Amino acid sequence: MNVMHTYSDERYGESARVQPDQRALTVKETADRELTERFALGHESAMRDIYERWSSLVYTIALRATRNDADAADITQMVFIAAWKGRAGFDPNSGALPAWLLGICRRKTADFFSAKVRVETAASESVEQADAQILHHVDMDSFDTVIDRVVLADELARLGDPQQKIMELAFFNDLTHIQIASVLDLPLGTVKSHIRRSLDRLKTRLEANSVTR
Amino acid sequence: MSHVDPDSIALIALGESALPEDLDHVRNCVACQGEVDELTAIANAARSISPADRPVSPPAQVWDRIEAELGLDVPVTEVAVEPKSRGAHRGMFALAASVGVLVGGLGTYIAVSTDSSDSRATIVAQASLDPLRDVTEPAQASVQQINGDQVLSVQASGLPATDGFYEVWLLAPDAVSMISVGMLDASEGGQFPLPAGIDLAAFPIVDISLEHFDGIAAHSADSVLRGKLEI
Repeated sequence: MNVMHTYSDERYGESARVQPDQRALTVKETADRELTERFALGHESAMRDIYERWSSLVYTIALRATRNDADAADITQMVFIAAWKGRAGFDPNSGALPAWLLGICRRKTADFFSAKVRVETAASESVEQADAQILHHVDMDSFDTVIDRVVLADELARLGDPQQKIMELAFFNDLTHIQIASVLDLPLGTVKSHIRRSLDRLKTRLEANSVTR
Repeated sequence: MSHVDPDSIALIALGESALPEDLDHVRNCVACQGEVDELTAIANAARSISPADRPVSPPAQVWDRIEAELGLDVPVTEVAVEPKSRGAHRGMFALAASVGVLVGGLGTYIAVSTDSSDSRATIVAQASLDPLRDVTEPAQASVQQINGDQVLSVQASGLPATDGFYEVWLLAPDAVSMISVGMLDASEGGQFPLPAGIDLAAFPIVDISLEHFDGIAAHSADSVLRGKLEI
């Protein structure tokens, strides 16, 4: 009951409620930076940490593209092996590690499809079939849309509550901020500022993860 | 004229109604309109998220293979595996498009009898589960109140053997929100204690899905049996 009370208690003011989130974000960002540096220096434990942090993103994107568990697992394996072997090519100062990983993921997935298309084209009985395969497999524009959606879904899940709940109600249930405040028993001002900050955070994450295309 | 405050810009981007003077300002202000456009693009992208976009962990073997190929020596046990969700699934991730249309003629009936094996167990809801595919026979489900706890019983015996497993869900009428209540033994059926405080009227549909060992916690959208509880 005390937890509920804190959210709706105006006495503590807006700043008292938002501070813990901001601290958490800073800690998380510091941790990401530190992880990136350890990776660049070739620490083996950093490889595991990077895998823990970003393998679900890579795997899910590959899964959405290939629609096949085993192929997605193969691509995930290739991406992280390529990342480790190619870590000298990663400059921590030039961009975010997830963007770099997703760039590798995009290339490995494209390679996978070109190999598959070559095999299937050779096996196809007609030119039309071969064309259809190619159209299906190498639509990289829609693949990039998939990357954006998975990245956004990942960031949404990392917003923490009540922000995640607020944004889900706004996005998927089309509730207004007034309805959301009422449903979650939160002050209107809190909901409004959470919406703004969460949208900004999703935007930042999407930009940071955007792969050079 | 001062700019529209950032929080209101976000609400406009989400499509909420706004003060006429704010909307006027946005229309005539390149900076504010630009912000609205940027945030609208984010909101639209987020709204297009489908259940399958939710990140799921790869199978554990993937790390094993990476570790072996690279000759790394770090403990495998610490690799995170996403737990099977036991909470109410969030609407966005809940169901793929192929589920969602309820089969009619659910053949449900009201029952207020008592379980002869335990005088304190009362059947509070009951459902006939209709096959959604040709693979199985109709089945039965009931919710019993036992010493203040609610337990869902599923009597299903005709489910075919599978490489995966069967999972029992309670769905909201929109078939979007749902709660996973457990894995079902295909040969024997099973009993599943329900979370305390669950509102069966809000989650009245018993659904049994065929799931694969793919680490994806969301509903597979491959339902084999379904029926509505009559409370």
